[in-house]
Amino acid sequence: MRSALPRFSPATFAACSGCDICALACPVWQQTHDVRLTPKGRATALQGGASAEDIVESLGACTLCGSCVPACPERIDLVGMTLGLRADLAAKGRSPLAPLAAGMIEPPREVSKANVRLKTVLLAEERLLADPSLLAAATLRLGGPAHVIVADDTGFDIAAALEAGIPVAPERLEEFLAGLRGALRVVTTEGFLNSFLRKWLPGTPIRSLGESCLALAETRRALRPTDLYLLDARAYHADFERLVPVYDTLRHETGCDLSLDLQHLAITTAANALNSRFGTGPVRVAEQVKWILEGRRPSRVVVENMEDGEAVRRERNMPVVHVAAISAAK
Amino acid sequence: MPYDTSKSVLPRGATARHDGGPAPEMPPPPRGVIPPETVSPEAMFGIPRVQTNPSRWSGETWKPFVEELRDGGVDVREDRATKAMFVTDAGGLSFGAPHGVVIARSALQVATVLRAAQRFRVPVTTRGGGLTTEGESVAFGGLQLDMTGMSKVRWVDRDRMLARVEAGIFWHSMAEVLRRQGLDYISAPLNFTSSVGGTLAVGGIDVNACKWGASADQCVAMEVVTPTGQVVECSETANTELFDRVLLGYGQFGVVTEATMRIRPYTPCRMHHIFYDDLKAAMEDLIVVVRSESTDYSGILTMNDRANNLLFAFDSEDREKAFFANVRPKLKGLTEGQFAMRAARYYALHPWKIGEALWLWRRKRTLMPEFERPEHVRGGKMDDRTVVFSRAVWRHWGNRSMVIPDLATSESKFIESVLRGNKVIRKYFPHYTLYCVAIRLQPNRERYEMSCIPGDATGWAYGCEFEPIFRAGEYSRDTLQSFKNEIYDVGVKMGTSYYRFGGSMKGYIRRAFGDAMVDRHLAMKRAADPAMILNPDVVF
Ligand SMILES: Cc1cc2nc3c(=O)[nH]c(=O)nc-3n(C[C@H](O)[C@H](O)[C@H](O)COP(=O)(O)OP(=O)(O)OC[C@H]3O[C@@H](n4cnc5c(N)ncnc54)[C@H](O)[C@@H]3O)c2cc1C
Ligand code: SF4
Ligand code: SF4
Repeated sequence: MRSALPRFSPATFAACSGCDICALACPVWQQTHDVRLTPKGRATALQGGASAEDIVESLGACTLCGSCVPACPERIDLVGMTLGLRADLAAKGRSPLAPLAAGMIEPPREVSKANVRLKTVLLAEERLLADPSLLAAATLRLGGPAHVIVADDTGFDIAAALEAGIPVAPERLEEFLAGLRGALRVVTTEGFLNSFLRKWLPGTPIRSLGESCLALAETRRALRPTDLYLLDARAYHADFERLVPVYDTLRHETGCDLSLDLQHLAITTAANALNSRFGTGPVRVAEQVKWILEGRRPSRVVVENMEDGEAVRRERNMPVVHVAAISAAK
Repeated sequence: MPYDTSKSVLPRGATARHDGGPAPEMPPPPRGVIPPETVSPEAMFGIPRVQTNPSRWSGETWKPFVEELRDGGVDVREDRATKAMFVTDAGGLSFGAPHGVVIARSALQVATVLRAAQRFRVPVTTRGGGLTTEGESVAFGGLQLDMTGMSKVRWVDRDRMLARVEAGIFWHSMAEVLRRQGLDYISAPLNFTSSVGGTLAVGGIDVNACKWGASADQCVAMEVVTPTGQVVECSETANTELFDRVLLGYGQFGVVTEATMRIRPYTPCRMHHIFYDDLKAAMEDLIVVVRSESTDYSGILTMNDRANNLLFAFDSEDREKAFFANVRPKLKGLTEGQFAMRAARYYALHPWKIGEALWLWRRKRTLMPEFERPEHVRGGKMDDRTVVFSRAVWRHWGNRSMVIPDLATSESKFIESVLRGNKVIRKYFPHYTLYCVAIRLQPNRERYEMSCIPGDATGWAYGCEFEPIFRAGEYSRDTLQSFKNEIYDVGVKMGTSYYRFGGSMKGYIRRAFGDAMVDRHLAMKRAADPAMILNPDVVF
């Protein structure tokens, strides 16, 4: 079976200068202070002749939040490198994540063949699908039911497989993409697939639900200076250069605080990572939430992603609201 | 006594190739025999080659040493992947490999390591960010002690404006914590992955060093593990001798495990640039600016010696206004428009230098946007100078190999030393940057002895880093070493110090500081570290 994953090219790690900048925003580094578990650790180990098996712990630790990619001055595709090495491990039956993903890669049973031409396709996360009123609000924000198709095939099985390094059957990938071709835009509620979708569907705008809601003036008007706006880290980092000015303008326009660090990288809750869902990685979601809120006293937290919202709710008794809901409330 | 480089250092009987005579003909070597070096060590304009890597330690005591550590609960990593992470430093020119790595987690663990290292005579090389360029943080065998495992902020005291941090913490990580409370560190290298401990060991220069002094001067207390494994708290008032030896001590007299640092309320800074087509004029103006004490930040950053930028910045609008009213009129610096006109005229009259002009133009186009990114700079205010500068440094100067020789001088020697150094760098490289700053000296002179602060400086010390711009592998290590040597020779002739004098530049230590001072420090080192195991070969 051919993998849908672009093959990992050894030229990537060779460019690492060892500057450590990738570690600064890496949740794994922040929680472990173990350089072996950072992208630099992986890249320099490979430079020294280590194999994927030698760094299996490090490969299993990454949450794929993507902060290290825009941080890296050598512009190494560090997420691509990690995924490629995970695929190498999976091929040898050594992937620490493959058994976790195995239970998640059931493709959807029934997929309606809706005509997506010139429509917005929403790939909604499970929690959103399970919340009809929020789903309706999100649909409204994206242009209303006549213009939006909520996809039956969300591609989550593909995302889980890619995250674990398990090959995706080309037929399955084709089936998924067929449901998206011709769409006006594809909107995601969790950003892991965004960079893949950009490669697979050249010319189709791939946007996060958060950004799409923020494009509306009334959403922005609903944000208050006392809000903390929690970005979907994976979506933001996957399109960093374009999104930095978007969120920078948002901050200046509304006065709200953003879950960004001093490098303007998004601090992840890590709640969406496969290893966090199963509690196998070194990153504790509770610690991430604590760090995001440290020294901040927001009156409410506005989230782009519902897993992030749940993570905050679990740790703090404070109002948490989805960005689509504040838009709808106006 | 400064060393006189004009005296021959050739081995007896050897002749130098630069004496005008033809190079001796080398007969072709027989097959299967490695030929003798055609370039003798002394072949480069009388500059003696300096050993770049110390010999590797391969002691037989490694195994029992590790066993003892493991029995004591210390995790020693000997796997290939872990060791590979530490084979070189930011310089990327000195390569070594430790026998094993310990990630530091507590002062007691570090003490256990050092006590065992003394007994088994195993070298221990301390490493923070590993941003040395001369292999000073590279282990050539023995144990690598990775201090970044100790990276927490212990406490922040707003009332006393102090923060206690573990010494392996990167300055940037410290800033992330402080900024949530509206606070900031005072002064740190413009390189956000240097560690606090590594910086205290070498000095630490920021663009605000003209006002606050070196980063090491912001330290009020430290927890130090001595080379024999005692955990000692030392400060400006307690165990002061250890405090002054460890600060700027290149890691020779102990491992810093925690540090109490002065901090301050956070302010964005308002940054300005003025331009010069004459390096000397830029340096003269830097001295005027520094002496006036009217700016909070200042420094020179060049694209080459015909495109020099004097930057200055302010923490408050009042100081900014006062500067523009009183000091700016005295400066020779040009506005960007005036400078562009002058440059255009110069290159029109020197058309054969069009390549240089194009390079400058391209460099400006790629570099300047980094300093003006709207998310970091708004309304002329820069939110976080370290992020802006560090990004630019790593994107536009960083490389898998870097050399940054420097000269650290008194005010009176600053201009002449830099002009001489500029001639050297111009000779070797078509493209380079000079970075000059002033460092306000603190009254306590003890800590400055045998450090990057020149002994003859009063008031302020000045420094210049000579940073060639090249791609990894473009120049041989020999060429780069010769370049560094020639810059350092300027220092020897002028009687300056250096920011980096250890590692592969160690050969200059006696010339720079004189035998008497070096021998006194060597005796102190022997007393503190009987087996000479802590950071061996870096300085002594
Ligand atoms: C691109 C680049 C830009 C730079 N810019 C600047 C700048 O603007 N200003 C400036 O001052 N410097 C600058 N430097 C130099 C570098 O930042 C300093 O050498 C740095 O402060 C060292 O910190 P580190 O944590 O990397 O130390 P390391 O390189 O890890 O160590 C430095 C020395 O201290 C010892 N050491 C490390 N940790 C400890 C400890 N905890 N206790 C005792 N000894 C220890 C090591 O053995 C070594 O001898 C730059 C370097 C590079 C590569
Ligand atoms: S993707 Fe996130 S967790 Fe993984 S290495 Fe990069 S910064 Fe760390
Ligand atoms: S940021 Fe990039 S170049 Fe720097 S250490 Fe990390 S991977 Fe290597």
